[in-house]
Amino acid sequence: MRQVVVLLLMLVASQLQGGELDQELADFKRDVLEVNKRLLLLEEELLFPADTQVGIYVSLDVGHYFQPDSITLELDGEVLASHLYTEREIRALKNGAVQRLALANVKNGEHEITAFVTGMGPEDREIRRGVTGQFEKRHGRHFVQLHIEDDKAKQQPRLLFRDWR
Amino acid sequence: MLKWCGVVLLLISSLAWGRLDKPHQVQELAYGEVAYLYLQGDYFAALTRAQMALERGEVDVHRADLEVLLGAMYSAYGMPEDAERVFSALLDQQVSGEVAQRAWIHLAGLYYRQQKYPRALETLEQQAGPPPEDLQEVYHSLRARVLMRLGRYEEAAESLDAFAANHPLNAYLRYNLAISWINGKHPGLGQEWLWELANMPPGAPEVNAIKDKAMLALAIYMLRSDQEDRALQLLRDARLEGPFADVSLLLYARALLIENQPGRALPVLQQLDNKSIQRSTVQEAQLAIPYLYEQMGDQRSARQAFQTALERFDGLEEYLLEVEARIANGDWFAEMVGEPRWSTAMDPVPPFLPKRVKSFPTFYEWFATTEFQHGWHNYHELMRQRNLLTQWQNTLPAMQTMLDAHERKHQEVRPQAQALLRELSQQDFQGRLTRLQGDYRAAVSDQDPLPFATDDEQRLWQAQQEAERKTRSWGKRKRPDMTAKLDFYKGVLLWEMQQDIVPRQWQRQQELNDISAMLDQTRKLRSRVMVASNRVQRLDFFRQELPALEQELASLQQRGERLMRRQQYSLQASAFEQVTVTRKRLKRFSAAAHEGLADLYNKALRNGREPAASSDSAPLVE
Repeated sequence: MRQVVVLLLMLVASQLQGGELDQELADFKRDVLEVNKRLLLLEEELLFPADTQVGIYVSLDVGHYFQPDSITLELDGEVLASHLYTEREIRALKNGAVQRLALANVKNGEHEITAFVTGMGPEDREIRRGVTGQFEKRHGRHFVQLHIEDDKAKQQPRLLFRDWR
Repeated sequence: MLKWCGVVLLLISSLAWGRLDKPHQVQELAYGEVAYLYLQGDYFAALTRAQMALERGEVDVHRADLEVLLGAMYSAYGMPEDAERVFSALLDQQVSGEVAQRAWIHLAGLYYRQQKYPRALETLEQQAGPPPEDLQEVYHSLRARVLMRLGRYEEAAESLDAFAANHPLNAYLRYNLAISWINGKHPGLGQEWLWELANMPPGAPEVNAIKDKAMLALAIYMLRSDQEDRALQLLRDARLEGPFADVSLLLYARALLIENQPGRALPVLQQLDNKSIQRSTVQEAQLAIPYLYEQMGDQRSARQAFQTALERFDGLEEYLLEVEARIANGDWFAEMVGEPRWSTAMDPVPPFLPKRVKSFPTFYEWFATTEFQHGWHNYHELMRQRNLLTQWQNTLPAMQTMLDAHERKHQEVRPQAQALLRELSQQDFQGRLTRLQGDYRAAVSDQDPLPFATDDEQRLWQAQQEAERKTRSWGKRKRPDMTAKLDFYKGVLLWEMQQDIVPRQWQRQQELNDISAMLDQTRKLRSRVMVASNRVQRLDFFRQELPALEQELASLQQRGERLMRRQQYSLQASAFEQVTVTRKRLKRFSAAAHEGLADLYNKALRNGREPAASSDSAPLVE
């Protein structure tokens, strides 16, 4: 009997507070987002100070002749990151989004970066490509973008690095 | 159906991303990164990243685009007030027509979610205006759904014509429209559309679900409008799997009964009878079977079936009482939730679904409702957020250690840096360079070759000047040819120095430029050293920020726990309602079964025979 009474109270409470609960959930989400942002900024500043930070990004243009399956990234000869792509990630890349593949700390000066990409080309042919680039790390945050685009003439992908200072 | 709504919302939200097969347009990495997270449905991460990008000024070209995206994400993430604030602020600014149009359409989408249908339509028609090519689909899908909600079906149909026939959204909207027609003014047209939908080629689970639903709706309509033979034909081909298999079987049995084919209806109902009695369709079949036997003249089997039905109803009633108790003490909810697996803090995977516990069939129809999904999703989101908060709480000590390390390093390096800065200030490199530049300009202006002379030339010039000074002191004793010779040598020296004065000046200018560039570099380094040596303020800020964050995390954990509990109570209350509804139905069915059984006995008595109430093996009616 007691349980039924408790349930009835729960029922009334939930009916009265449905809209209020949604509002409180929205307020809670807002506060969690704010704290999460502050913590991420703090963490990034402690782990990857601007003077040594380099961010590696991947973008895909159109993707008629290539759909990446995996990528391995080397910075100055050391493997920095590896990633296997899901269908959703590929769709996001094809829609113009940019993936942050890795954040790292490097000293100022010249650095070499290499990416190995595997994926499917026209007629489901497996394609492997590698590309190497150099960048000079200077003061402040530094970004390098690996851009995969279609080479219409060869019907193959073309990989290139872009330097964002 | 909920999944379809999700698809629709995603389409609405992905306005800025109808970019397939077009050149890459993202010009700022931060914007692209937000889009990457957003397009995978990870709104929390995308929202956080968007806020970081705006706070750090990482976007300039895409600032307005990012704000539109931010508003869309707030809207999709259940933060309508924040979404409205972002859109209003954006629309108050000078933004491009395209951005404004996207913002208006998102705002209309937000009103639609808030069930403010007239306002949504007004925003679409009066503010957003006719959409450009890439927004056509989104605009018309939203408009069609708003119009349907407003009961303006004809206009909704016109809006649907803007879609490609094979678009998944088209099927969803056409189904809704067909249902409203079949129940309203145009049953014939509704039937025609349902027929088309039911005969779509099979495909993804969503498409198959629409096909099944269309087929069932069509069958029900045919049964209601005396087209039993067509209904039978349709139901014979119904799928015996998927969420609508039970209803299909039940409808098929009904159609057979209407067509007076009880012999064929019986195995269909018996097929249903093998499933869990918790399902409403099985309960109905359970009650229908004895009536079917009775109709077939098999009184004994009818009596047996009534008794079986009553036993199963009683058993279910007992079980439901047990479920009620388990709902009240929270065991039922805990069992449903299970132990969620986590990979990383806010991963959208693994999917959070109610566990297939014993009571699942009692609630499975409720599980498919928007109301349950909304509450369940909120509960899951709260769990994820609390999990994230816990992870941050666990990370804080490590962050504290990192901060200590930064401070130690800073304290070691700071005195050296300050000493270097002091030394640099004392050297007055810039003052010296400015003086040199002044001297250079004066020499160029006076065409004075001496500042550009080589060391040898300088020595010769000094010697010549010395000789001149000495000969002057000789007075009248000096030989006249001596003065002429000295003047000649001086002239030769000056001529040599003047001969390539321009390259000499240019070389000196280059040297001064190089020094200036080096000083620039030094200044930059100096400012970096200065910033680094003054980083103490930033570290002080972190030192205060960490304990503040620790407190906020603890407070948010408590709030999250309270909200989770309330959300759980809300779901439990709804589950209790479901059980109550089922129990009421069971009471009706039990009463009907008792009545049926009593009628059987009554008939038997009236026929002058003793009903074999005490013996199950004795024949009831021959």
